[in-house]
Order: sequence, then structure tokens, then C-alpha cells
Amino acid sequence: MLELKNVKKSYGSKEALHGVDLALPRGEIVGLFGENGAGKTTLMKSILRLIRFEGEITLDGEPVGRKNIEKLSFATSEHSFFPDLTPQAHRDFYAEHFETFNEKRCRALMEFFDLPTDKALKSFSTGQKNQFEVILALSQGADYILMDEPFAGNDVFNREDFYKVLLGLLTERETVLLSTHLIEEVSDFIGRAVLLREGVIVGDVGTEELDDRGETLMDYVKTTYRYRADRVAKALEEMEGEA
Amino acid sequence: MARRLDRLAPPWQDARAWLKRAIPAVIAAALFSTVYCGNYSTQCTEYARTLKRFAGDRARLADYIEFFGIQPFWTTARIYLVPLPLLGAVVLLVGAAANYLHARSGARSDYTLRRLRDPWEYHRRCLALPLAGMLACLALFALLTGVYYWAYLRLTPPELLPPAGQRFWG
Repeated sequence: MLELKNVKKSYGSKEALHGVDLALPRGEIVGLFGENGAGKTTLMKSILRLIRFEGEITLDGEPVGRKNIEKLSFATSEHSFFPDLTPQAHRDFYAEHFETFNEKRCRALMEFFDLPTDKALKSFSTGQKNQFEVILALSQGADYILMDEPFAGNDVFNREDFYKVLLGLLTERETVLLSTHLIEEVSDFIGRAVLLREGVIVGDVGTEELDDRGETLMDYVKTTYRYRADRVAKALEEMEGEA
Repeated sequence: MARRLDRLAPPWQDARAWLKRAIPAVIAAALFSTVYCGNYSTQCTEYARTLKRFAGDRARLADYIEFFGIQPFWTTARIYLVPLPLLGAVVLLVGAAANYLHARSGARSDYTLRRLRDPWEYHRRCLALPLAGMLACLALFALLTGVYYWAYLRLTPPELLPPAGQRFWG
């Protein structure tokens, strides 16, 4: 279980996370949604201890540290691989540094996405870079896989393939926290949706529960965010009035 | 050995290639300092010859010593020795800055390095070789300073040496 208790983070005077409490049990695919600046990336970076924060984050009851950091992996749209290295060199690096690195899974995913193994990552297309970033996160052998907008720049077929692979690949031990704006696209693949707004969790619901209520994920997000559908029409009317 | 060396460098850097670039620079700075020895020994030969010429004339010899009395060691040697620690500082600052910047250019490779079991792995890989380069420069600087000072004391005609206690710094 990955547990966050009263996690707070400020950038200068701007508070990015206001005491977030969240628990992620094993074996779930959780979607993390929110507008730009809602705190999704800050939340993930806090979990990974890439930034300082206040509060408590534990992994199976232990604070995240050198003993258990390998249980977490990270795929980010910023990319965390080494651009000058080839995928083969990355495999060697991961095999050396992560005891649980799943070489077999890595090879299989590389073949599935038809990625070259002997070219430096910097020569890959954006889509290929994203694929490789996610492949590394999935192959590290981590129990908790954090993905921050991993498909930004990928075409829809690519993303579709990934969701399917993700579903078929993950074991009961593995938990995925997936931050994305593609709400409708992932709605069939996630089991739970967490909504973040201005650093506060404003919604946390299982997709089965939504199904039972006959509500779509998009409707839930819009309602929780108090989205005003007439906003655009009103703005256009005002602009016309000014003209 | 090669593997151990690689673990001291960032994953994208070939440690041996780095050493191949750094070692000649350090050797060049060390060789430049030897110019001091060459110049100084020529100067001392000239002093010895003059002293021999004035050997019978104590008054002229005293004037000569007063006029040409040899500078303390550091006053002349520093020009040739200071490039070594300066090079060391450049190796450390430029090398470390290049590594840290590279870890954030094109991708955030630092995220991966900071997620490793050893929390110091990232900084070790960015700093180890530049730091080793600086320490090598400082060690060579200390060694050459010692050797040249010893040569200064041996080569300088005793009559021309500054008083004891003022020979190194003045």
C-alpha cells in the first residue's frame, strides 16, 4: 500500500499541495486527473522524493527511502532516460541498478513496439521516446508505477495499444498511478479515478461505482469540477456584444 | 577496473575518454612549470660566474648581493606553478557543471539517477572525475612546489639567498 498523509508542498508563496491524503493498494490502475497546475506532477515527484514536501508518504508501512525506492518506477513526459544511450545500454544500466529488473518484459515490449535497440534515444521520434520511457517504467520490476502524462505526443493508435498492453501485462502486485488529460480514452482501463484541484483531492471514485450509478467518468469529472457548459457560449456572447 | 571507473562517471560519459582529455591538460600544465627550473638554473649559473669574478673584491660583491639579491622562491615560481591549481579549479567547476547540466538536457536523466538505491549515486557520478582531476592537479602542484623549492635552495649561491625564514614567501 502506498499511503500519503497530509502531504503539503509549496513553491514560494504558492501552495501546490494542501494536505493530500491518499491510499493506493496493490493491483489497481488509478487515473489521476486535474487541470494544468492542479498538483498532479508535484504529487508524483513528492512520492518519488524528487522534491521536498511536508507530511508523510509510506510504502507498505515504511517511509520511502533507499531501502524501498526500487519499488517505485516513474515514466514522465519530460523523459527520465539517458538520451545519449541506446536501449541496450539502458537495459544494462537497469539490470545493474534494479535487482528486480524484468529483462524479459523489456525485450518483449521493445519487440512489440518495434523499437531499435542500437540507436541512441536522442534519435528516436517523440512517440518512440514516450514508448521507451513507459517500457523502462514497466520493466523496472517496481510494485508502484507512476506515469505522468506518458503519452503526450503519441498518436491515438499508439496509446490504444499501450492501454491494452498495460492491462494484459500487469500482475496483481503492480499498481499504476496514471496522470493524464485523456479522460475518456482511459476510462475503460482504469479501476479508480482520483481528481485533484488546486492541490486538493476533490474526488475519488471507483469506475465500477460510476457504472452502477450510470455515470460516465467524464460526467463525474465535469460535475466534481463544477464545469459550466454554458461558459463558452456566454463568453462568445459577451465578445459579440463588445464588437 | 574499467567497470569501476565507469561507475564514477555519468552513464552517458566514457570515463576513459574523459581521462584521455584531462591527463594531457594536467601534463601540459606540469611541463609548463618546468620552465621555471630551466630559467632559474641558467640564472644561477650566471650569478655563480659573477660571484667568482668579484671574489676578490668584497665591496663590489656586497653591492652586487644587495642589488641582485635573489627574490624569495614564491615570488618567481608562482607564475609557473599557479596554472596547476587554476586548471584543477576549471576541471572541477566546468566538469561538474557540464555533468549536472547534461543530466537535465534533452531529458531529466537526473530523475533516474536520483531514484537509485544509493542516494549519493547521482552526485558521485557528476562530481567524482572532476574532483579527482582537481585533486590530481593539487597533488602535482604540492609535489612540484616541494621539488622546485628544494632545487631553489640547492642551486642558489648561498651568499645570494634571502635570510632564513624569508626564503619561501619573503
